[in-house]
Amino acid sequence: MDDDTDQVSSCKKGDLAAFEQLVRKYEKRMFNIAFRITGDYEDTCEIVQDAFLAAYRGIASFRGQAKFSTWLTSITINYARNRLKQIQGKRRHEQFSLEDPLPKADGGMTTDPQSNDPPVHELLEKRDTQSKVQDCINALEPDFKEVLVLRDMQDFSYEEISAILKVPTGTVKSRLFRAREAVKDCLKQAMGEL
Amino acid sequence: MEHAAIQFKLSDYLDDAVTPEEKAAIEEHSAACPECRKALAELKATRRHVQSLAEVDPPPWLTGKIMARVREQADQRRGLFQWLFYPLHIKLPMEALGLIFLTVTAYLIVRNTQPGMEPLTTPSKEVYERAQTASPQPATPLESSEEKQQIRRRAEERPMVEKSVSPAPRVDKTVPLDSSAAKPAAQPGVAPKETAAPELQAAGKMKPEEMAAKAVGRSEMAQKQIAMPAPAAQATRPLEELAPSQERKEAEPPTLTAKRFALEAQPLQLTLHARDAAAAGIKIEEAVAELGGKIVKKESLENTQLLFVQMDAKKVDGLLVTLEHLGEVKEKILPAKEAEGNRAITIKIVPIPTSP
Repeated sequence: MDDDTDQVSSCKKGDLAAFEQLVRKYEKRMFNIAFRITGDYEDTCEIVQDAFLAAYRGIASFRGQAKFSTWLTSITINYARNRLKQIQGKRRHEQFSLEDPLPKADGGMTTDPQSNDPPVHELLEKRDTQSKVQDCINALEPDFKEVLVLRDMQDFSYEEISAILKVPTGTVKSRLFRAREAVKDCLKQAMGEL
Repeated sequence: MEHAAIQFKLSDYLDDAVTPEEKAAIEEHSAACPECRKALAELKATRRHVQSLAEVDPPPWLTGKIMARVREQADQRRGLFQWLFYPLHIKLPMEALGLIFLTVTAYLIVRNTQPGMEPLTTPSKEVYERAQTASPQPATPLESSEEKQQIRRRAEERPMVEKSVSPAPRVDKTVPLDSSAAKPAAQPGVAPKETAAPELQAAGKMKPEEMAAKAVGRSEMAQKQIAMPAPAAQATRPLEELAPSQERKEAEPPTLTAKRFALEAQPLQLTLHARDAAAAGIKIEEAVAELGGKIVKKESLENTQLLFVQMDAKKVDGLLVTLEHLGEVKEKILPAKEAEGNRAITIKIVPIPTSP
């Protein structure tokens, strides 16, 4: 039984106060899901606003076949996924960077002098554990990241994750296994022994 | 289960998402396999680290920002709908009244701006059935002008045709015709133009009483001629030619009868050449009123007047007498031979130019 049935019904009748109750109830949870997927605070603010606005627009078509929280999470994940693609696309299409090697007169490329900074795993060792974990999560593929966030951080069941991501439960299990293995390897590399 | 399968299932085992059989197999294998025990421990540690991540607090303004955008959206969506329908108890009755008012107004405008059209008088059942039996195709009132001319041409050529027909059957036809057959012969307007023209020209010099008496006498004479034997009737054939008779209808081809029927349904068109068109128009209006008819429409074009009259077909004779009294009458369309009920008549009054 969905706890939000009454509020959803009121929202369908145009009750904005009821919708505000839902916003207050789920705002932090949606914010954390979007933040763990994108890793960017500012982007997360935009994503959560857009997700709630989309939910308000589409609440008339919400039939209550799933929980409201599941439906709202699905919207938030979609917006977060799209924003992540935009960010990655921008990074990929950046043609010039101050850190790019410069062309030489003989046609070769100048390379940066060897950095004196320690390697990545050494940098990670200097940060606190939470930062390391977040960095490992950020390094995951989006599909794996979504499953890990939903299961290990938001405690959704396999069935709920299956409904949110619209993939079979077997796929959820498989992705979760791979995501955990990847984070485990990343943390082992960053922290040594777990 | 093999070692690789056990390692793959460790993640599900961690979430207790395995069957009891799988759980037993994993626990049995892990007890004997240090590598699997280590992998399971690392998975548990990884999950613990991930779960240990602190929740991030959204900015305090986020709720307000979301609701502001939602309210903006709601206002846009509600705007037109509310403007049209809310509050329902006030706007719906007003809209209903407005709709009724518009409908009635539109109906009245359409009714008043349409040209003065009267409903067509349906032909009598007898005439209709006769036309149906004569022609399998229904007689359409919309005939082309060529077909009308053809009908008239045939009517003009009819004396020659009838000469070739043996007069014997006509001699036998001494039975009085029914009123519908005799009536057109009694109308002064149906006389041939050659004989009617001198009469009409003389009509201007006659008094109305004399005109009426003459018209009555002419109709009586026509009835006698129809009842006469063939040799006597042949002498007055020009008068009889345009009057429909039973034997002529039998001689006519069926399609011609149908076309004549269609022609008869057309309004009677009269042209009156009068010295004072305005005065003639007033007198015609008075005469129409006296005869129980009505002027449907009046139009004036320079000196010419057009009167659209609707009156009983049986009283058309009286109107023709009045017209003959007022000036020279010309007919474009012959009056109906067997008309009953109301008859549409168009009278065009043309002033006779006065010589200086």
